[in-house]
This record gives sequence, structure tokens and C-alpha cells, in this order.
Amino acid sequence: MFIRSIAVIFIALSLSVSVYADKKPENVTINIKTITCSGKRVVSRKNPIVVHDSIRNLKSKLKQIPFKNFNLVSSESITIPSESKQQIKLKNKDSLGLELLYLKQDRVGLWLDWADKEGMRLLDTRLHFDCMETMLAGADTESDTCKMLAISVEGKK
Amino acid sequence: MNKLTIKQQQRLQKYIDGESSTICKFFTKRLIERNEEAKEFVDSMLNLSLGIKQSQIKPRVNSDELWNKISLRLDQEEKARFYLGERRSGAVEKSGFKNLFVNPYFTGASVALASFFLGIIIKSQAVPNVTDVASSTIKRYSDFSSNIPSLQSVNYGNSRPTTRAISPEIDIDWVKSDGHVRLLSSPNGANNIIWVKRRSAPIYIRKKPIKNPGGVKIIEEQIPTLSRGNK
Repeated sequence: MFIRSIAVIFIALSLSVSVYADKKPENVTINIKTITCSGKRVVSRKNPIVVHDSIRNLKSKLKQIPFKNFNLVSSESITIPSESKQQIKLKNKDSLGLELLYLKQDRVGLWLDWADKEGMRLLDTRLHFDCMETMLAGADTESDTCKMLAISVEGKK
Repeated sequence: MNKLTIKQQQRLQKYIDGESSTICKFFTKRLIERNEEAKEFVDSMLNLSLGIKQSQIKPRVNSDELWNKISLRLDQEEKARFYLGERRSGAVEKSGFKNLFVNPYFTGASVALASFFLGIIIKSQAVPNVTDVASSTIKRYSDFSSNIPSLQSVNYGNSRPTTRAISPEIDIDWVKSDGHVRLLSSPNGANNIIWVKRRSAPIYIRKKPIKNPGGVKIIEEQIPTLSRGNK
């Protein structure tokens, strides 16, 4: 009786483990906006910024950047499976490696590898941020301009 | 009343046991009818056999068999104590709920169900609790960054994994870059932006072509040409 019970428990446990092991990865849609900025300025309230209409929701964040004009270059929505690395070529010829580590109710985990067209590694990081927020990363260029990425999670698909 | 001879007693015994032949049965019946003692003998024998059948005499157990049974029982008790624990003294009330787990299949099914739901609970709570980590480390960062109100500067160096940088919105595990990485945030600590400042381009010093690298001045002596007159 005892040995039979052990055998049944073992089979039941292995079955339940296999149920979780075969879990399919979920697809998540991520929006990536490429922004260029120009016109250097001193960060203060006296020096307002000019933001393109499509990125007006980011104005409060963009105020901290020492540039005056912000224009949207491209906005791309991509659907990626979770826990798999994806390589994306942006319209400004930068390359972006992306991996969705997890997506939960209020938090998202991302691995991000951003390199410019010349192959310079601008940012290689693993970070976590609020799902409802847009994560901004920027880099200055050799000229008096800068380029920025605005990454937000649109949801599961 | 004639006494029964041994031969008659044997014949009556065979008759009672049903072993006598037909002819023998005829003569035995005749003997029982005529002889009163034969009749009493048969009655006493039948009563005796009936009494033996009715009496429940338990077969006596051999002492060797009894010891084997005792040792077997002792072994069973020791195994039960090893697997199930010490036996409780007194009568144990078996409730209906406990009886459910006597069935091994029911036990297995209940364990499977429990593990399934446990897995669901663990999966739902398996998110790295970033906010907790953040709240514990924000203090650490705020200690030395309190003097920097508007521009929170976190220089990560070049291509080097760093310790975790924390903000209320963004939680960075590590960062690598060919430039200088900073975390821009508003005075209230919100609206964080990761900012990469490129390293300035390296200065190449062009060497001027040096005609005389050794600084040695070569003086060419004027060798007077030989005149034909000297030959």
C-alpha cells in the first residue's frame, strides 16, 4: 500500500511538472520610437522645449534633456516572444537587441543592446520599469544633436 | 439381556460409520431390534459423535509455530514504526476524512491537485520583487546623491558591469557602454532617462616629416678637384 502510494504521488508530481515545463512563450507587442533632438539649451524653466505632437506625452521627461527641439523619426511596433533575443534594425540604421525577460501586472523586465550604425555600443543593459511608463534612453552624437529611444509595452498578444 | 461380544460391537461400529455392507446392515438392524444392549450401544455412540461435532475444540498450536507467528508480528510492528511512527496507545477514532486518504489513488490525485495549485501560486508570485529591492537601495543612493538635486549622475565607466542603480521607475541591474552613462531625473526623483554621453574622439597627433631625425648636421667637405697640373 505504502509503495503504491509513493508511486502514484511520484507520477502525479511528474505530470504536474511536465504541465509547467511545456508552457508556451507569450508574445508581447513593444513600441519603439526613435527621436532626434537638436539645438542645445540650458535645462531650466525659462528655456522651453518644442516637442512633436506625436510625442507630446513625453514632454515632462524630455524637459530634462539639454536640447530644444524634439522630432519623431520613426515609431515601430514589434511583437516578440518572451525570453528570446531579437535583433531589430531601426530606421536610423541603429541596431537594437531586445529580450523581454518578463511582463507582469505592473512591471516589465528587458534586456537592451543599442548600437549605432558605426557599431559603437551605446547601451547594453538589463532593466525593469513600470508597464504603464515609457522608458527613455538617449545618446548625444558627434554633432550638436542627439538621438533617443522611447520604449513602451503595448501588451500581450 | 445378552452382553455384546467384541465382534458385535465392531459390526455396530461399522454400521454407525456407514462402512457395513447391505447384508451386514440387515443383520445389524436385526440385532439392534432384538438386543436392547445393542440399541443402547448404538445410541451412546451416536450421542458421542454428535457431542464431538457440536463441541468446538480449538486445535492446539504448536509452540514452534506460535513463536514464528510472534516473531513475524514483531517484524511487522518494527517496520510499521519505521514508516508510520510510534503506535498510539488507545483506540484511534477513524474519521471519514482520514479514511479518504487510505486509498492511494485518492492520495495521489490530491497531491497532484495540491501541487498544481501550488505551482500556479508560485508562478504568480515569482516576479522578481523589484520594488522591494528598490526601496531598500534607494536610501543607499540618496545618501550620496543628496547634494545633486537635479542631475543624478551615475557614471558606470566603460564596458563594466556595475551594481544595481535604482530609481522609482527604472531599476537597472547592470549596464555596459562605450560611453559615459548617466541617469537623468527630475528633482523629485521621477522621469528617469538613461543618457549616454559619447567619449570624445581620440586626438591623433600627426608627426611632421622630419628631414633630419638625429639632429646630426652633416658637413660635406669640399674636396678640391685635382688639377691636371698636379698629376
